Amino acid sequence: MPHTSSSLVPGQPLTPAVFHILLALADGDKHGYAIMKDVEHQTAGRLKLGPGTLYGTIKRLLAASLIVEVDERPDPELDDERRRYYRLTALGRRLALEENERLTQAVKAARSKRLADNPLS
Amino acid sequence: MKTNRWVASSQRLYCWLLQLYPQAYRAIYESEMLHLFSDQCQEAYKQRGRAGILSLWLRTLVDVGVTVIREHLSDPDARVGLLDAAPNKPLPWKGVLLVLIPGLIFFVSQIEQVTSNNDWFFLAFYRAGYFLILPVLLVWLVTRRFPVWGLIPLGLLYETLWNYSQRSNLGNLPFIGHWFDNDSVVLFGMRTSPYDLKNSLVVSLCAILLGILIWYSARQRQISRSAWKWLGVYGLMIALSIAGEFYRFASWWPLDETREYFLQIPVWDLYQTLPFLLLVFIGMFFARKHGGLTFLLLLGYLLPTVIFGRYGSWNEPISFYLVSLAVLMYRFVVALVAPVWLVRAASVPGRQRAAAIPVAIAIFCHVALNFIVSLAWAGEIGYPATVFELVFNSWGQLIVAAGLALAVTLYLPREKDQAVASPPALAAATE
Repeated sequence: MPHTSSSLVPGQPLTPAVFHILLALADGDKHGYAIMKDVEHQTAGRLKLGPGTLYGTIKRLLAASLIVEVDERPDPELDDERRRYYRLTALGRRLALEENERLTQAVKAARSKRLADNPLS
Repeated sequence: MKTNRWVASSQRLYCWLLQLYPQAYRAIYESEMLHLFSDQCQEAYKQRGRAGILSLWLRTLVDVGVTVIREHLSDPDARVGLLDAAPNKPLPWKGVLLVLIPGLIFFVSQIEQVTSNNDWFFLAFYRAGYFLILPVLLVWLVTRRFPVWGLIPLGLLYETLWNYSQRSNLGNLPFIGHWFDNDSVVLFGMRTSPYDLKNSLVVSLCAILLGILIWYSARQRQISRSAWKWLGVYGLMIALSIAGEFYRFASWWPLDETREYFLQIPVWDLYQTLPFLLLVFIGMFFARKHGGLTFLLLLGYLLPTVIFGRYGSWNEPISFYLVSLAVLMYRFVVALVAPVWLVRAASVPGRQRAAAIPVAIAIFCHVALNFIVSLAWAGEIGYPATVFELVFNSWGQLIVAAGLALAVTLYLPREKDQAVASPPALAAATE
């Protein structure tokens, strides 16, 4: 039975690490270091994944079939063959979309409350 | 490309830290993680030099600390060593480290006892059992599996509670406390002291529980012939102890005021010896799962054994070298060598040797130290030290040795014994 983390249950919010890794793979296959750099770029440096967090999350995403490991290389000439590449699955894409909608909804709700216009102090 | 010294050292250190992850996890991700960390190092050094490397390490250490624990808890394969021992395989080193924690505490506290005038070591000797059992109970509650590294703390707690009961204020006990508040108690028409009453109750309870456990084990065919023999030896040694005590104080017999003491001799001897025998048989429940490693339970019981510090039983100073030798031999062997040898041994004969040899050395050391201290004391006060007295002073340790031999035959039966007794669960656990 694949290991399922509570953060990977459909309908439940995803952790930031999971969501940003799925987002990083949304525009193409990537290896670990490229995923890490992409996540850093997406979050303007606020989320810096360490190797343990990155590969621990990748392990759980693989077990939940949200991503798969691929043998194809984008450019075999330039690539280091020791690297592993990962690809988003249809299920992973659906979960990322759900999370995107949840976050959009949350941002919309925050805007309707005019949070930024009514600071406490 | 020339590699910077800081980057190269960081890679080496990270490579070493990766060993902390579970083996199954490392097999898949070790080289990837090292590769990624190397890339991070190169980039950090290129951007900010040494400060970049230090900043990277701050983040990486937190990352390693959190994810190592998470991977160990989430990986089913990693449970071997943290909770169970695989049959006929040595316990992985991470499990060995957990097994060693109580021994290390006692070893360090013993060194403190003989090298300083501080008395915090008492805290370890009389209270460690209460604290060391807490993580064990938590893991037991969460996983519903009693971890192999919980056996030493359990034995330690058993000994601590039993030892403490000899001194505790029994008047605080609910329902029966009032019995112990008085100077004397009349029970079934006999006047006795509260402490004698307490001893009698403990002995009776132990005897009943022991009877039930021995009957149950015999019914399950878990007691081999060798075990029956050692059980007989244990009983015989208790009888000899009682007889020796009567012989020792025979000259006091005619006095009325000492008659009560004579009646209490058997109770006191049984009070000293039955709880250990009860623990040996309680261990049978753990032997079904942990096999020969159940011997750790008894090592936990032996851990707080007092082997003299800087002062002897009569507050006389003892040679530093003598005590140091005892500490090295007894505490080191029982607390550190025996547990590691036991859990790293892979076969039944190997575990038998691991259980028997270190404990035999430790008990020999304890007995020898008792001999030397008794001789020195006898010489100091001019009391003739007879061979009987010397042997009698060490008889308690010899009874414990017989109990340990019984445990070896119960938890680690030889093949020919197994064929006779064929304890199915025990055989399955040890094979």
